[in-house]
Amino acid sequence: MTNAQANRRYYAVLIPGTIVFLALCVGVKLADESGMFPDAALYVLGLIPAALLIGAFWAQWRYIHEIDEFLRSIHVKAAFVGLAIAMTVATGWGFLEFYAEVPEFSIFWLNPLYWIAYSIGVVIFSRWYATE
Amino acid sequence: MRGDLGWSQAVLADKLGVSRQSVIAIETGKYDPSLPLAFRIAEVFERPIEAIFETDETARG
Repeated sequence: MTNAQANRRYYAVLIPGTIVFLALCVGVKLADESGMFPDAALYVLGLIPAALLIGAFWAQWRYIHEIDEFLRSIHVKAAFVGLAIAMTVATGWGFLEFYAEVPEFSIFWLNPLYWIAYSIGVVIFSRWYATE
Repeated sequence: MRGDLGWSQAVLADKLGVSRQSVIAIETGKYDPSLPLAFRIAEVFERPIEAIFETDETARG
């Protein structure tokens, strides 16, 4: 499989998945605020975006296997940076919440934090390793 | 070596089935290819692998 084919397969899952994920995030919030849905329904609705996230990580896993070895090394390093930042923020802010009474930070935001850090990592590592 | 054959980085990348970024990273010494890719590079250039790659020791002379 070529890198171009791997890119197409990755974005064919990730782009529509992200759009549906964002629509569901807004939809669940609106459903919650409307007060029209029982708690049980909200629980189920709230888990659908999480299921989509599993799909996103599966697409990322498949993509990392399909691209060439150098690009794979870039993406694995970037994924590690994303994970390290998300976990460090989670632990650091968690301690601050325990002992310093800082404002509550929802763990929901760790997911976008991971993807943002991962994306920035890919750009930085690509420039660093693949610039003449 | 690539330049001697008149190949661009894109042409070599295409022959190897890798990205142009991979060729840049290998040529600049920022990425060491795996053994299978190193053998593929040797095949493309029709040279023994040790004529293309040098170890840290041989690089030091």
